[in-house]
Amino acid sequence: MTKRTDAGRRLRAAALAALLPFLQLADACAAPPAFPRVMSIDLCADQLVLALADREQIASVSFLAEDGELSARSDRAAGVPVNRGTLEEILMLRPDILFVGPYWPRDLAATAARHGIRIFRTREAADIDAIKSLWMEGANALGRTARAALLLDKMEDELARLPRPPAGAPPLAAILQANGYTDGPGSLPDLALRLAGFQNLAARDGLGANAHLSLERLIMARPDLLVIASYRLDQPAEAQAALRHPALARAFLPGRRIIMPVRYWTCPGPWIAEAAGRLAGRIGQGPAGTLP
Amino acid sequence: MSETARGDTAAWNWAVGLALLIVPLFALSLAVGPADIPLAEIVSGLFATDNSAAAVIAQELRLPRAILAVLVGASLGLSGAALQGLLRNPLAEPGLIGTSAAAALGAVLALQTGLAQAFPLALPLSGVLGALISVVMLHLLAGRDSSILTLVLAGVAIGSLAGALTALVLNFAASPFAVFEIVFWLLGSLADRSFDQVYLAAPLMLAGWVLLLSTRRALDALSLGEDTARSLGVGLGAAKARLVLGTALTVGPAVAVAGTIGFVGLVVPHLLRPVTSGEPGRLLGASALGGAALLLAADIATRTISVSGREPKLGVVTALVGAPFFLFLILRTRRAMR
Repeated sequence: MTKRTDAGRRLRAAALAALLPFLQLADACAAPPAFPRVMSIDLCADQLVLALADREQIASVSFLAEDGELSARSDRAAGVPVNRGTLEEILMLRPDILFVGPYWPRDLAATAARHGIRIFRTREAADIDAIKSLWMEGANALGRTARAALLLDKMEDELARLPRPPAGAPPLAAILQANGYTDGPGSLPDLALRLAGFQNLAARDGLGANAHLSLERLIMARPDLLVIASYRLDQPAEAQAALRHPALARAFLPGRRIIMPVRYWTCPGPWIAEAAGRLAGRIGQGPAGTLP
Repeated sequence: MSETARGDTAAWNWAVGLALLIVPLFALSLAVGPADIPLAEIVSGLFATDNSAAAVIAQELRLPRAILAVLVGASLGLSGAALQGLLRNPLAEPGLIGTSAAAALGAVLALQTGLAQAFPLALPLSGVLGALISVVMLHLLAGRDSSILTLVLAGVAIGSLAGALTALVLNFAASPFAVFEIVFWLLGSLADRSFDQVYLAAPLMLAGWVLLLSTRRALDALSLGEDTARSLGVGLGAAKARLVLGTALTVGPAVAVAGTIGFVGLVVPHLLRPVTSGEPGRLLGASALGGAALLLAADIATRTISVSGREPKLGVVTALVGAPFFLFLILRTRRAMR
């Protein structure tokens, strides 16, 4: 072989190497698929994806989606591959679109975008309009707007069917979580209470979105309904000790207590109507406890 | 009047004084809380039979809390004085020598294995077992060598191991809130306690008190040295066994229901030692009363010093008082040794 043929071969190889990035770009500029392959790494995004997308469309959801205590649609997660939200998993799966939570670091999002993965970032939504617009945007990204419209219409129907609250001042309700925290205005639990026709004690007393509510103040306030947010209540934890205190059993007889699994209001979605329905069912049952 | 008789009268006066101090502190503890209820309403609530807010708060929240403060405080003071007599070391107390941490480990294991749910008495008993194992280990490590350094080092070793194992168990717990629980176990708290905890802990603690108070004579003799004590005909082996078991029975249940609260067993005997003219036997009863008073005061403080509605943990308050005291003791001991 002469030197000239070697040089020629090297030149051809260099030319091909120089063209390669342009070929990849051409591929990426092709029109996105109608039903993009989706991967979700955030619990709330999981539920949106599981509710709207077909099984074949879903590459993977986060491991939290399977948790029946947290996920409102955990039954739909059966059999779906799960991920732990690591960048490695994302790059290995190479979905068309990646659903992330509101706080996923921007630099990670940039890295994923560099590999040609579209990012859909969900956000907090604490009122009906915000929930609707979030779900329609998500549905748009998935190509499932018709399905989303159907679900949201069903939600509106359920909300319209909620019993009208009695005339006069709305009944008072208080939410108690582990570690003695309560949910205030601007949160999904507060939204569920308001939709059901209750006034949230945290809102009345100006307690803020996530504040501590001592048992004494709770008992003094004498709410008509005590809502105990339940997450793994059966498991031993000092954090839940306050929720099982004998003082609560005495101050709130069973008619004035309700246990709400947190999956009803951890994430924004049409199930907020179910949550409101469960709470609304308690209005008008009369004060069974004997707090004067 | 002989010197011992005068000493006895002085000690009695102090005992009565401390007991009288506990009464107003107890009342203050009932009066203080997140809900603003005037004391008169609380008192009438204590005797009410209905479910009014004042009755429920007084009977189910404030009363058990005040009772536990007395029981736990007395246990910590008493066990501190007993340990200082047994180990003949002024720096001994259940927190510093790792007994409280070991009791907490026992309690956490009972809770996380589900044993305490199946059999409620398992909770304080596991605390007792943990405390017992730690005191025995301490004796093996520090043994006859009563040097302060060896004792503190052994205590640090046992306490660190127990603390690390507690954190490990909670790390792998099924409940996601277990991580926050570490704060309760490490810093102690009497918040949101109920009569359930009183019934669980009181019998064992009282048994421990009886055992410890029965060692008064032996402790007095032991302070003169082991050989002298034996020559005085004091059954040392039996007395030491009663001291070890009694300490475990007082500290174990206290930690199981309130977490580890440090420094009470250190500060109280030191403050009262001059009053009992250095006789360890008399110090026991006085320390029990002093411990009850101190913990009541500390618990009242946690409810009056609240930043943005959160109470500081009880162990934080006792540490803020006790740790500087401990440093002062170390400095004074070093100066005395020069």
